[in-house]
Amino acid sequence: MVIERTIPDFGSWFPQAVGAWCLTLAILLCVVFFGGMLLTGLRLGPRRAFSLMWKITKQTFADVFTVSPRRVGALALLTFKEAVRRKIVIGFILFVFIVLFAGMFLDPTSQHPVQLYVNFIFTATSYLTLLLVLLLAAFSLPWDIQKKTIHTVVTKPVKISEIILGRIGGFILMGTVLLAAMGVVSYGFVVRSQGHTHTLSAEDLQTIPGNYPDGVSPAMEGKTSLSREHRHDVFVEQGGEAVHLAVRNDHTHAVTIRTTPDGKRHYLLSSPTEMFTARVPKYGSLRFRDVMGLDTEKGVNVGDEWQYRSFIAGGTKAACIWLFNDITPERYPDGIPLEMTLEVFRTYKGKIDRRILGSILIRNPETGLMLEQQVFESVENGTAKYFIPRKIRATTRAMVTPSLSSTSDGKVMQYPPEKQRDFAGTSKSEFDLFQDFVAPQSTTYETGAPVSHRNTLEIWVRCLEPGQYFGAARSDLYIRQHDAPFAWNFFKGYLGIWLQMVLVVVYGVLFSTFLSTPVTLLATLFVMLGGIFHTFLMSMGTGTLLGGGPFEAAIRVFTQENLTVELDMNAAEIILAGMFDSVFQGFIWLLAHLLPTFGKYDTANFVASGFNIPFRLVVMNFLSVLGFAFPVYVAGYVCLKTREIER
Amino acid sequence: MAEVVVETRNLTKIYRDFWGRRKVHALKSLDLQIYRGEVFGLLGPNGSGKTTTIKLLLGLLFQSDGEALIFGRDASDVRRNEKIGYLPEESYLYKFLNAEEILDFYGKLFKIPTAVRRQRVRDLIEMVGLSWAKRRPLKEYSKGMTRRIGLAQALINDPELVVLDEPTSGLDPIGTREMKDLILDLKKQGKTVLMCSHLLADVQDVCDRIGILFQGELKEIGRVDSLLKVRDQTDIQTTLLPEEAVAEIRRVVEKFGGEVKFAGNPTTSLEDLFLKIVEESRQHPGRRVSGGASDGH
Repeated sequence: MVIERTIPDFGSWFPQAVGAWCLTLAILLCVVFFGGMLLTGLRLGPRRAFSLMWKITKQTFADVFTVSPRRVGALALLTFKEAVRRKIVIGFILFVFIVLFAGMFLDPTSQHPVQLYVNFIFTATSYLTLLLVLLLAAFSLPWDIQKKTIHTVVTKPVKISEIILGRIGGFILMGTVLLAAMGVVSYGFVVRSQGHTHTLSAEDLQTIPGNYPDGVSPAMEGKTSLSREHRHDVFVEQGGEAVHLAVRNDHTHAVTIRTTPDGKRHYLLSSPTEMFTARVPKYGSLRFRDVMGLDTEKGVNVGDEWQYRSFIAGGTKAACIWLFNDITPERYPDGIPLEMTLEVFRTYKGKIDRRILGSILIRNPETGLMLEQQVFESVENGTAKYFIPRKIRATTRAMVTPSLSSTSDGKVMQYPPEKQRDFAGTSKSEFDLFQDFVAPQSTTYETGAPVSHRNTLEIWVRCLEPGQYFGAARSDLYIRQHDAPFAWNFFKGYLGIWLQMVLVVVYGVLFSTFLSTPVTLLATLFVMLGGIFHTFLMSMGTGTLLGGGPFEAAIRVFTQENLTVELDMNAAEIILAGMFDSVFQGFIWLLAHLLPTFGKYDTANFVASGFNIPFRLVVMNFLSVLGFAFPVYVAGYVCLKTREIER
Repeated sequence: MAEVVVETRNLTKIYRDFWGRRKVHALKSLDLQIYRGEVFGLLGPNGSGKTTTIKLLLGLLFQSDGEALIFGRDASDVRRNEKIGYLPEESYLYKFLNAEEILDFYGKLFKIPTAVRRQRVRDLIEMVGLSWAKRRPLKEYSKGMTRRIGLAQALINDPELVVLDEPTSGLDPIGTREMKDLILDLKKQGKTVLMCSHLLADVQDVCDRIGILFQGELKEIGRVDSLLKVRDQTDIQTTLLPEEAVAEIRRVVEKFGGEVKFAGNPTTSLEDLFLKIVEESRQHPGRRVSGGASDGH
């Protein structure tokens, strides 16, 4: 299980996000101002229209920034009370019922029970919460206007901006309370439902045949008792002091041995360990080496439609190469814990249950000193753990391997250059990870320009069997730095639902300022759906969609040309189609920027897969929601301000 | 010259359909001035533009032309609302709240210190006689009770201008009388009251000046006493006189060329009779009240 999503650095994301936000807002403001001018100008004439629009603009700026917290608080509390007294608690009771009966339907034999339970609980929570706040937001303001209760509010010294903020605040408060209650129930449900242990007695173990010294208890193997539809394989080392339990269903148990005075051993198994984790991974950058021994950005395509992973051929020079920065003894005093998920592509079946052999090599990016650290058997559909200790005893001879990259003019660049290579290290039989393989300073040429790194280490993975392939992506190999508390990660996962809830509220309130309840519901659902298809909309808006815009697509439909064929049109026709499609693309581009990508805020996958949600992702998501919420709040203000409350 | 509190200049409202076509010309060039401390009544049949005028003044509708000013400010300036209290035609209140909660909510919308606000909530509930029901949600209130709490919310900020839309609508005669007494009380406190009603007796009883609207046009404006004065008649009321005295008076009137059109016992209004019966019933529960009728039934 890996997180496929690459999270950008905050430093590179922020300026880009602010730029896109400013551009969208500027375009939107121009469209609204000049559109408003046009509409009012038709009725009142250009001079009065401009004067009116200018007045509205000035007042909007004054009102949206100067609000009274007291009045906003009063209105938010009113909204909260309204929701409570409309029996919103029924939503929570419904959720509790779902949780109570969930245990009956969730597969107890699942190999990834935490993933199953967490995904279920997060899905149930988000659907229920989003639906409830959507209904509340869609009904509240239209009812207020329809029942004219808003008359007694707007005739008090209350700004329209305060009404909008009060509504938004009230619903968010309601949703927060609801989510908090659901979160506590969910956490208890997930943690308690997985609690179990097994029993293991001496009768469950069988001696492994072999020659053992006298007086030493032999190595044994067996299985634990059945619990939650699974057993663990047990291996007791010779001497009987060390007991190893195999990982099943993403967990294992710690074993304590108690020996009674008569010499009998009792094995006590703890509750599951390694089950509720929030791993903090350190990712490196990934490049490949092809069969010719040249460094490339991508590996081989084995015909998989899902191009997330690139492949390397087995039994060749091909390798996946991860480069890690900031590898210091202070951070990893004992060594480096690795976790790896590889996809295996077999060109011949062989013995299907036999695993494919691969090797992990470590390399100093500066000196090129490289050592095969271990040979492993591939774990398909799972994550394997490896450890690179600080002191490494060589089982094979170390070598010096330069990085080989080809330049645009076809020359091959080698680093370190042949004359600078130092082979002294290759004769050693014991190595220190940090002294021999970590380069204090190194330079890479990933994007053509030199990039300096500090304390770098390269980890190479090779497939050892000819005719078989290993597939990898950047996130498939990482250093497990440490684990964050699972409860905290669970909370951050709920924060993702909270952010989605905030978006539903702000869009719901915006639409309810000028639409009736059913239309508000539809419009908000449209925003949510638009957010789900955001990638498609963006490719339409940027013109990268195969087959062109609607005009070109229509021509293809009528002329029965497929998407990849050049259209048989003259220059004038091409220009005309391009112009029409450009206007449409501009509109779609703007629309795509106005619709939030709902899926982006869903971080349940991190919690379910046992990965810590990075704090910078939480901050980026929060800022992103704020970026949507503010213009939507202003738009809601303008819509309600320019609406006759009475009508 | 008293300060102008409410002023409309060429105030016009035309209702249009979705396509901008004219549907109704609800108000036509209304020019009006209401001065500090007076009780002004807007009169007119249904659809004459009374409520439209009030809603234009309060910013609930946008004027098609002209200006609607309160304290010299138009509706876009909400600061003026600090000094305005508004009782709508139906008391549009949040029915899921109780009396205390709703007054506290409206109080929080004004810049009133917490202690003052809480005291004012208590006083107003006491004033409108709803202390016994202050914890009951408004959805359980009768129409009269809702009206009373509506009035209380209009007064939560101790306003300088009170705008009352059909203030006696839905009230029983006692409530109507109390409402009229309250309006007179507000006048005594120096507040300005703008009310609209089609119940002429109510307007006559409390208003200093009235404006009569018909089909969106102001037809008459002036002081109630001068507008209602019948200038070609003389009215004399005395205590009960014997038949001879009445005959003597007739002779005197004829001597001066006049004509006695009516001489006899005047009738009281039904409102006065009702209030008298209710008051006596309160003082003497269980006893039947004669109410002054002497027709033997």
